[in-house]
Amino acid sequence: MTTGGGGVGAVGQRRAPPRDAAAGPAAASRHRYTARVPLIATENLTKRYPGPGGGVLALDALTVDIEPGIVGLVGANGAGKSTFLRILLGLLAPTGGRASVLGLDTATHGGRIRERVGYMPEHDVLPPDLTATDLVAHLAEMSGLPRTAARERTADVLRHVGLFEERYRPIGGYSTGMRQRVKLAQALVHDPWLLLLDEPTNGLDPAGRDEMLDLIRRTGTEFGIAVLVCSHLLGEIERVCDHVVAIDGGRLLRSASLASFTGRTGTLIVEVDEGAEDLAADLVAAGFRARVDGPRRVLVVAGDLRPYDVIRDATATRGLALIRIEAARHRVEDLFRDDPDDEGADGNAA
Amino acid sequence: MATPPDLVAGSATGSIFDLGYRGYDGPRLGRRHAISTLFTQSLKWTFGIGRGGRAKIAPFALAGLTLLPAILAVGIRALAGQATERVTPITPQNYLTFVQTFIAFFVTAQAPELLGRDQRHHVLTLYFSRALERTDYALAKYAALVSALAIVLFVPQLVLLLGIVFASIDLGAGLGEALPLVVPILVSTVVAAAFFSGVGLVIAAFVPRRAFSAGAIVATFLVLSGVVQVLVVQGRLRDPFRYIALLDPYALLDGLATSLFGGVGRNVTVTRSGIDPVIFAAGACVVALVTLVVLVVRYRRIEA
Repeated sequence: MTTGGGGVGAVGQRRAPPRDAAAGPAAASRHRYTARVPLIATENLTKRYPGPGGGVLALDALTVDIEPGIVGLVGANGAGKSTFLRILLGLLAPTGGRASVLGLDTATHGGRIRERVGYMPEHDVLPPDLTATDLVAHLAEMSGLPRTAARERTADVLRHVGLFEERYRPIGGYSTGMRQRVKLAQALVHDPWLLLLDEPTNGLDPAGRDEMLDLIRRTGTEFGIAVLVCSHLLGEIERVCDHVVAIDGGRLLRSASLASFTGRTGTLIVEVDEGAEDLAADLVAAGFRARVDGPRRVLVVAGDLRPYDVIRDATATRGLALIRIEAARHRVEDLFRDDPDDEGADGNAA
Repeated sequence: MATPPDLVAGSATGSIFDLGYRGYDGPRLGRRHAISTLFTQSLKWTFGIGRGGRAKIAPFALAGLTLLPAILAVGIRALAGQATERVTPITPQNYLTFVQTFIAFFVTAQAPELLGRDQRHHVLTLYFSRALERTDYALAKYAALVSALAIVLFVPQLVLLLGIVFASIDLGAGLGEALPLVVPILVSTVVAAAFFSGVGLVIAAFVPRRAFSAGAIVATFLVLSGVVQVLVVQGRLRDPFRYIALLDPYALLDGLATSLFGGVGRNVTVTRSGIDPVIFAAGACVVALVTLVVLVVRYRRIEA
């Protein structure tokens, strides 16, 4: 099973150095897992939810090693991302295989993992009648922090996520952006070694999205906290992550550094006002991998060959009106669909 | 922890100097601290402490109502002297059955408060992704409501005991009368608090909506006791069927008090069923334990 080892190693080395020696076991453990034990390791991890017709296979023999850094976990909705996170937290028992986080087995050491991991769930999980300060401080104590430390850390992380005087107001009156910040704050309040973020930009407007991504980037780079971000939007993953793990249908599609990931998705979208099928046929005849995508769009895999001349000639000879040519957006769906031969190789071998 | 400070970008309040994120290297007290914190926080929550004025109305009103009979009883006893013991309707022996409706209302008001919100708003996800275990959550909530109810019931009984001691002609006689009651009071109150709380919490755990769970709890206590009492008193039930008397929560409470303090119970379900009060007392203990187990199992399996 290949998991893109080269890229993974590079991510590990880019990590912020461990904290000062006085930090004791915290620093020692961070150092240890960066050095030897993978941050997250799964082996044939399988999860089948019971149900009619054999149930739903959420994870299908997923084997992957994830090293510290900001790692994106991408997959379409229903690809098994949330199931994966819940197994990592020890909240869900896999039906097969095994997983370890921080070198601890999720099946036997869930409690110890959860003490050191911060989790930001996807859905709304905030009680409307509490203030952000009260909720986050309470949850800090639920993570084992003493009362005064919990209060201090709460003030710190709420400031870090950009909640100021609003923190003394009930959460019920918060905007979606503020709620997402509270969710991030509660995941950070106990200073975890690893943050698991499930669709952190869900429901945010573009500005809120930018701020959240920036916050994640800073958290992952400046504070030495490893981050695993789940998203179905490859564009977001691209902006914050150094490494990408793509899963589809519960299987590993690919695990590689971000650079190698985006390097291979050189698909062009060619939009014409009619004759898309003719254009696609010309491109295929010229040796390109192209197909029609909708009545007026052709997708063509650019690769090393440059299809621009062929597009120009074909549109000119056929008299087609060329509207635009653009690089395909890095949506995860495109990635999964466009280049099945290359992209799927790793996952299918699993 | 030298994190370079920087300015907060784009905050509405302008340039607030941001100390930024700092690490935490202090003690981590782990799961036990989480459990004890959840317990004390839930206990305070039950009395509306830290929740604003309106949340305090129900618990303190009901606590006041349970205290009132004790104060009246002590007052009557003090005014009329020791000879009126038989005149005073409320004694430590029958105190719990006297305030049984208030116990039911207290549980009805507070059990949904303790569990419903965390379920309705999916806060359990945040709890269970931490040091706290699912079982811990159930145990802490159960312990919190049992303790709250026990406090509400202990205070009036303490008043009754002090009344006995200080209204007596001499202190020695008063203590002689009061001291033997201490252990029965402690045991009966804790068991009663546990089985009433257990029933309320189990219902609240399966019915997250507060209005529905409160309705279901009050129906369980009031309707069930009424129906069972009618069946037992009017029904002339034959042997296996008369044991439905054990379904009456107030009969369990009465049997519990009678077995611990002696004397004759007030509850007609107990007296007419012809079943030994000790069986009712055992029933109360069984309900307390079974509801605790059901609560734990419920929270081990609940989706969160």
